Formats: sequence, structure tokens, C-alpha cells
Amino acid sequence: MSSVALDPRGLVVQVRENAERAYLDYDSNDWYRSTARQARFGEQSTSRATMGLCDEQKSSSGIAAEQVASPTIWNRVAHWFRGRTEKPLTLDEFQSVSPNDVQAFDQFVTFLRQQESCNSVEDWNKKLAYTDFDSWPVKSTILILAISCDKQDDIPVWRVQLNRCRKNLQSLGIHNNLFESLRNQYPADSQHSLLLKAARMVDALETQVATDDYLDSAIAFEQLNEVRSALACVYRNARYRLRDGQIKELDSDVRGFEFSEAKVDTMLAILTATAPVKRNLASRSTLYANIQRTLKKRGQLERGLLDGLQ
Amino acid sequence: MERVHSQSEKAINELRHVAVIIGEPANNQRHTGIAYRVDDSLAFQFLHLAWHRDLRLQDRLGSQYCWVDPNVPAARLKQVAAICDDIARANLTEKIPYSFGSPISAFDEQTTKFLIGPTNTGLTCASFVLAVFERAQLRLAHYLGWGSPDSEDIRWQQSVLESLRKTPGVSVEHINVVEREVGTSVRYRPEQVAGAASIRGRTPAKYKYAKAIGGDIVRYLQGEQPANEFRLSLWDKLLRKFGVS
Repeated sequence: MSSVALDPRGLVVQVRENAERAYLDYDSNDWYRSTARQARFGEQSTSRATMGLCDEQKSSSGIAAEQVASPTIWNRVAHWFRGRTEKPLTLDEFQSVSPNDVQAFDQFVTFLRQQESCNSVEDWNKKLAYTDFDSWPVKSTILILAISCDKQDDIPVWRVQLNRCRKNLQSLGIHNNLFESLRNQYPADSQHSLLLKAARMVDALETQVATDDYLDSAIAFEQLNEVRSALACVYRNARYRLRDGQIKELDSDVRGFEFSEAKVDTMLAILTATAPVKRNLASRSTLYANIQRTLKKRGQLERGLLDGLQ
Repeated sequence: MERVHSQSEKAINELRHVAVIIGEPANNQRHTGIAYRVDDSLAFQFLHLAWHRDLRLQDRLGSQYCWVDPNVPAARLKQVAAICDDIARANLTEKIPYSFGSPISAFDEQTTKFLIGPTNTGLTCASFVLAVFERAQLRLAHYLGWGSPDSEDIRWQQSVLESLRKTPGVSVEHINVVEREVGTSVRYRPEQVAGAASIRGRTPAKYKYAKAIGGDIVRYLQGEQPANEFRLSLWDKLLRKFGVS
């Protein structure tokens, strides 16, 4: 990157300019609306993995992944620059890292890579063995697995960590083996990418504020026959939107909902969850009509199924 | 009565995501709640308002309880089950007061916690069931036509007030609120709510039908022969067919 040749002040100025340009060029909502859900879901995970962990492996899915990555590249540079002057971070500081917060995730990855370069496998083992992961959010423990999965054969404690995650997932009400189900659903994806997907899905269930792609996570849960988690995802996140006064964002969720990929349960959940505020959601009537048409086409429009939801 | 089952006749495990539970735990004292499970592979949970600030979630159900299979599509019942999950999560720690308040808008849209307001002073076991279905946009009964409390209802409301007075920790303000409601607030009887669930169809049940089927449910619980007084008028049959209330 040419900007690293600049003096520190010049670098900051350029980073700001570039970040602003990238922000103006890139409308995440446009991308969200124009990209299919499946692609969106895969690309966001892949782009994060690509940026942080394996720069040489670029996402095969092309332009959209680059678009997602572009605004954050500059953030990464800014963090790298800031990281020179700030005190080193500890593993515990990443307890609250969100797989949906690309910026924080990058910082997390950078930190772990630094750790990796100066620590032996033995140190990694100690870290995994002696950190109190039970007090961590489940999504963060899955992220730890994702970061270290390429070294799993060298880190005996990795398997213990995996089992710990499975147990913690049960406490969230996910009783089937989420990792196994994801592997069956996406056999072509790497283990790293699947773990990132799992972390993002769990994030939508676990985080006490609405995540940007909770509806994608709900559809993903539904496709894995985790209907309870799928519905919890929709109801909880819609509630968080209302609690935080994010009516516009909720309307945007309704507008971007991929009804063609969703099954009947998620469709009914979004209609039910938004029914109390339907007057404030301009896009809801269109969604209702689309869902009605889709269910009719699929032969699933049972008599009385949509009563009270218009 | 075809949707009302005793557990010996049909196991509760056969429920379609949600069942309205009705039983007579004490002489002439009925109790109701909701048994639910979102996923058929999971065990059912019994969610019920047992008493003042005593919402319970149990994984067992006494054999004396009967269950009603609500006349609602299974996919909608799955939503009710998910809402039960959400309500249980939000209200098991911050408890629901017991009083004769309205089941309409009982739960906060933003938090799903019970919302205390001018008409939402608290719930009974029966109005709790109504409030949960209300939250799922499936109103079980027409509240407007519901009968005023009769002498038996008023007697029951007074006995609740007395019990609340004897319950430690109930605030004076709450006692005063309940006192004002005695004789003036509608009483949704457990058997009428269960009856409304069994006959709802596409529109909320009218009081006269809920009352008729409720009477049959009581007779059924007491081991008597149902009177089968429930008959829809032609007009109501027509309205139900087109889903018009």
C-alpha cells in the first residue's frame, strides 16, 4: 500500500479521505438489497476471513465481497497505525467482539496473529486451557475456534474448546449439533468459514441489540431445521429494534427480507413480530402481499394462515 | 368437544406446538395455562400464571389436567409457542401481578415484559392465556360481548382479594387496585377461555359460544356427560367461513 510511505500525519489524512471516499462509493443498503441472501451471507463471512486470516486467499465470489471489504480496509490501516501507539491488548478485551462488527473483528484477528507470531503452540494451549471462556459470549468462543482451526492438530485443547462451545450452544437452546448441521448444509465451505457463519448466527441470538443481518441468520437457522432459534432470532431482534427506536431500520429489514428463500415459519414470524407497529412500517404491506403470493405459489397458503397479520 | 382431550385419552405429547391446559386442581376452582413447544423434537413446557408474581414454567403436567387443541393452523401455533418462549424469558424474573386487568396490550412491544398501565393492572391465569394469543395476533374471544361479572364471579373476585391481602409482599397500592376492580371487571373464566380456543376458527369466539362450550368442559372435568349446547347460528357459520368477525 503506497500510503505507508507517508509521514504519520499524512497517513491519517489520507486514511480519512479514503475512508470517506469508500463510504460515499459504497452504499451498504444498496448492496444489501441487490445481493442475494445466500451470496450476502457467504460473502460477508468469507470477506472477513479473507481480510484477516489469509490475505492470499481471496474470495472467489468476486465483486460483492470486495465491496464489503473496501470501507473496512482503511479502518484496518487506521487501527494498525493506532496500534503502534496504544498499549497491547489482551485476549479478554475481545470478549465482546461481534462477528458483525467487521472493524472489531479485524482488530481481533490482527491481535491474534501478533500473538501467534510471538507465542508457541504451547502458549496457545495454555491460553485456551486457562482462559475462563465460560464467562465469554458463545459467539466469541466460536470465533476463537475459527481463528485457531488451522492449527487444531497442534493444539490439543482445541477439541476441548469445541466441546465447550457445543455445550454452551445448548444453553442457548440450540440442541442439534450446529457445526455438524452447517457442514452438511454447506459441504464445500472450509471449517473456518463454517465457524464464522456459526458465530454470526449465534450473535443474532445472543447479542442484546439488533444485529444487521438477523433475518439472514433466522433463515439460516430455519434451513438447518433449528426453527426455535430461527423464530427467537426474529422476535428478539425485532423487539430490540423497537426498544432502541430503530423503526427505520426495522422497515429496512422488512424491505430486505428474502421471502423467496424463507420458509413459512420465518415469514409468519416477521409478520407477527411487526404487526403491532405495522402503521409505522411502509414496506410491510408489500411484504405481506409478497408472502401471500409466495405461499400460494408453493401451495402452503392454508385457510386462515395469515388471518390477523395483514 | 372434539378438541378437548384428557391425557388418558390422548397424550399431551401429541400437541400441535400449543395446547390450552384446563384442570380443576381444587373443588370448583379451575386453572388454565399453555403447554407449548416450538420444535416437535423438544419436550413441552407448561407456562402458567399460578398466582401473584408467580409465573411458572414447568416441564410436567398433573394427570388431572385436560388439554385443548386450539382451532388454529399449526404454523400459527408455532408462532404462539415462540412467543411463549419469549414471554417466559422476559417475565420469569420480573413477575406479573395478579388482578382482573385487561388482556389487551398486556405485554410491552419493546421488551415483552408485562406492561402495567391504567387497564393493565395484572392478569389472572385465564386472561394470561388470552394475552399470549393476543400477542400472536390471534384474539381468542370477542371481549366486548363478554358478560358482566355475575354473583359467582364477584364472590370469586372477593376471595382473590382476600387471598392477596394474606399474601406477604403484596403492596397496598396493588390491593387497592384489585379492590376497585372487584364487581366491575370482567371475569374471563378458565373453562371459557379454553372453550374459546377450541372453537375459535378464523375469528374470535363470541361469549355465548365460549360460555356454552365452557359449561361442557366443566362437566367433562367433573366426569359428567357434556350437554352439547354449543351450536353456531347460521349467520355465524357464514361469517366464520369468510373469516369475518
